[in-house]
Amino acid sequence: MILLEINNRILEETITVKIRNSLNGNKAESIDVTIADFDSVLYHVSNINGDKTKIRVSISLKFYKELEEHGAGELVKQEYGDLLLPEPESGYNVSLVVDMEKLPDDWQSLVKKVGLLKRNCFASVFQTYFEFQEQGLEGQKKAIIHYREDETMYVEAKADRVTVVFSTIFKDPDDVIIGKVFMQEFKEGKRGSQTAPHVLFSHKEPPLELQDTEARQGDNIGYVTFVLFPRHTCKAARDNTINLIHIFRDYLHYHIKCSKAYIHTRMRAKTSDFLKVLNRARPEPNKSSSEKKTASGRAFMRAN
Amino acid sequence: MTEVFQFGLVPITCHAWNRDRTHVALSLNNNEVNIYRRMGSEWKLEESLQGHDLRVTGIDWAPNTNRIVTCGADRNAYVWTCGDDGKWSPTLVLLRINRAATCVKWSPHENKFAVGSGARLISVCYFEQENNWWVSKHIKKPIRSTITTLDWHPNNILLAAGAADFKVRIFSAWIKDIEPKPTATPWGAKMPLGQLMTEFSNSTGGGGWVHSVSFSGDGGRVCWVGHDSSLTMADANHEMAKSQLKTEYLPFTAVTWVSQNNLVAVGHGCCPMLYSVDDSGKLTFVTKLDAAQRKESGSLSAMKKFQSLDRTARSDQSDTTLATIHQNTITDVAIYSGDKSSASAISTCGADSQLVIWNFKLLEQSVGELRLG
Amino acid sequence: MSAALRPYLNAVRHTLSAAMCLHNFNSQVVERHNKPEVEVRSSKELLMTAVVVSRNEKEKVLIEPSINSIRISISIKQADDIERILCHKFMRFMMMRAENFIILRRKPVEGYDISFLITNFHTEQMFKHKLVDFVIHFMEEIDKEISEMKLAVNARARECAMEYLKRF
Repeated sequence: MILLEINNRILEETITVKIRNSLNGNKAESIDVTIADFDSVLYHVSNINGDKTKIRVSISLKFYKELEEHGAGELVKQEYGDLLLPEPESGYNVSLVVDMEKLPDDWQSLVKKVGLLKRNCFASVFQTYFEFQEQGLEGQKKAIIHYREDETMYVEAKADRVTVVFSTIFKDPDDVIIGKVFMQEFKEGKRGSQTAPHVLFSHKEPPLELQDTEARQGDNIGYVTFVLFPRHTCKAARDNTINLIHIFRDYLHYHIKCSKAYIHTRMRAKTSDFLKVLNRARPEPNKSSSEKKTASGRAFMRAN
Repeated sequence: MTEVFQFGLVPITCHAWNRDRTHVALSLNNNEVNIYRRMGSEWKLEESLQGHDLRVTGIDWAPNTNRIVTCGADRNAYVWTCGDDGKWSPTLVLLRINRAATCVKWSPHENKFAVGSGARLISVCYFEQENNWWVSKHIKKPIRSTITTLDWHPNNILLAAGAADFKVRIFSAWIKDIEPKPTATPWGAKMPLGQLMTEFSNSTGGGGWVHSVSFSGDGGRVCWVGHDSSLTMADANHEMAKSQLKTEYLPFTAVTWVSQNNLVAVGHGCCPMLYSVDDSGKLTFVTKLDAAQRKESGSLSAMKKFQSLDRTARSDQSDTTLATIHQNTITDVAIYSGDKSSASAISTCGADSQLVIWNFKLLEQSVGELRLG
Repeated sequence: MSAALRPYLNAVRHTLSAAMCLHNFNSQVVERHNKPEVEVRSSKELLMTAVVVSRNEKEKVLIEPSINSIRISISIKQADDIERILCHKFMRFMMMRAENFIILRRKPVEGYDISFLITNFHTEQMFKHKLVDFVIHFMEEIDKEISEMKLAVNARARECAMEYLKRF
């Protein structure tokens, strides 16, 4: 699993179980599940007013307000249409409802769609700015999304490109260094793929594009800039680009963690290896009496 | 051939023989002194002398009066006497020291003994008849360091002491209360207690803790070994002329004369070495006593092989054992038969818990260069 | 072992063999005490001249012998940030397991990455020449291990970047 899935598998599976259950004619059971996702996103799956045939899926994004400024509401409406509840569950930003009694034939694609709820909320801001670029609308205000506490994403459209900047925090100082190794490879990634966007990385200080913003500085902050060209933002490639880019931060941190886990495993193995080598210096423990024979073949016996 | 005895897995700190070599007293790096009796080719533990509460550092067995003196890191010394029932009983000796005792030696006449210590002094102890106890007199000046080793001159008066300050000193240990006025020796004529007869530095620039000293059989020469891998001999009959050999081997820990002109030094190299002194006083290396031969390793059982793989990540153990008989530092050497003027066998003990008796007559057949003269 | 490394390790091996001739020695200062002199440094005469065997500025070994203990401190090659953190992580990992390693010091001597403390009690229980072998083995392996770990991180980074970017 080198790439992260953009859908929420647990959410999908939870609903699938419910739907299968209902299709098999079993009695509907109540549900109340809370699922966490990246970027402190929470899903809540429950029944509306105790009606076990109606499953409500709500999502809470701390930064939904910022997304709404960039048309998240419209996009969600457009994506989910009838499924959307006019009033979201309190404490959540968007609520969908799946009616067990009115399931379409290809309910699988319905489940897929629900599973992409987070992705679609995120997508609005990219959609908007990709649109600006396509229409050549320059001078639009930068979008600033605080997608995590202390971490921010900036999106800006120019006539010929869209720049997406992620600020990310490396909690462990070692992560900065491992992160740098990764970013170096992302920078050079263009060599491997002609179609890839430009990736830039700056550590501690924000890139020039963000000089007029309140972008933070600090030892543990890194800025990753993606320069997306029309070949990425055009309608045909748009969905794919969004799929990839909105998960980038999690992808990077996931692999940094994996690297650390791998290093740890290696260290553990090597340490136990060293211990064995040190054991070579110890005389054989609990020698059996037959081994106590000395060089001349005499055996020593303790009298007591 | 050479007799080898294994006494366990822990180091043998020091050992001492009784007069007819039927018993050996040794300490297995703890606070006890074990006395073993020889039963054919084995040693049977006869008694464990318990008195010290810290590690025993020195043992000496007086051959004629059959008394054992021991000293330990607990700052005490005990004189053990064997009762009619064959049991040993201790007498505490007041050493009046406040650091660990390091070494102890009976004088040749067995009427006194000397104890070296970390208290930067030597206690010379003798038995006071009136009070029925052992009393000690101190030799302090000019010692400024731990005394690591002692040896008595055959005249029962002079005492050689090596110290951790790289010096070897010859003192007078004359106790005027119990012995007549000594006669002059090449080391000097005036001998009140504590008189520094002469002092040698192990090397001119300093360096090298002195680990062992030994007076020659006639008392005219003294030799010592230092931690700088040196072996040194000084001759009182030749104006204290010093002859030093800086060897290429690991440092020696103990040395003894085995004939008028031969020395055996043992130490970290795990192999006893024979040196000789020629007429001009020059020291030369003669031979190693241990004709080191790598032992053939037997075939491993499958069980052993996997155990070894699990414990040490390899099945081959061939480089674990050394080619020499002793597998770790040799800590002590003693004369097994004969005396310093003409020994025919010596014994060594080591940190590998082995006691080895080296018989020169038998060794001559295997070690070609071995000629004692 | 590369040909360039061999003289360096040989020098360390010989120095260690000579320095590891230890004696049980009771404190000259405190009665009934027996402490590693190289640590307590109670008396100058009990310490030997410390030796630094160095291959280059970054790779060196400090050997501090004394009458009853020897301290070996190793400075490991760290060419860049990633090697630095890998080395640091690894050494910390090992030092947290110092009780298993017995001869490992819980803290390195200043200016070095890892220190071993071998006392006469260790040389009495264990084979001296195999202890030397261990230190040499450690020095040989540690460089190799760190560069392999670094390669592994780099490989993962490259693979991640390629996989991600080629999907655009």
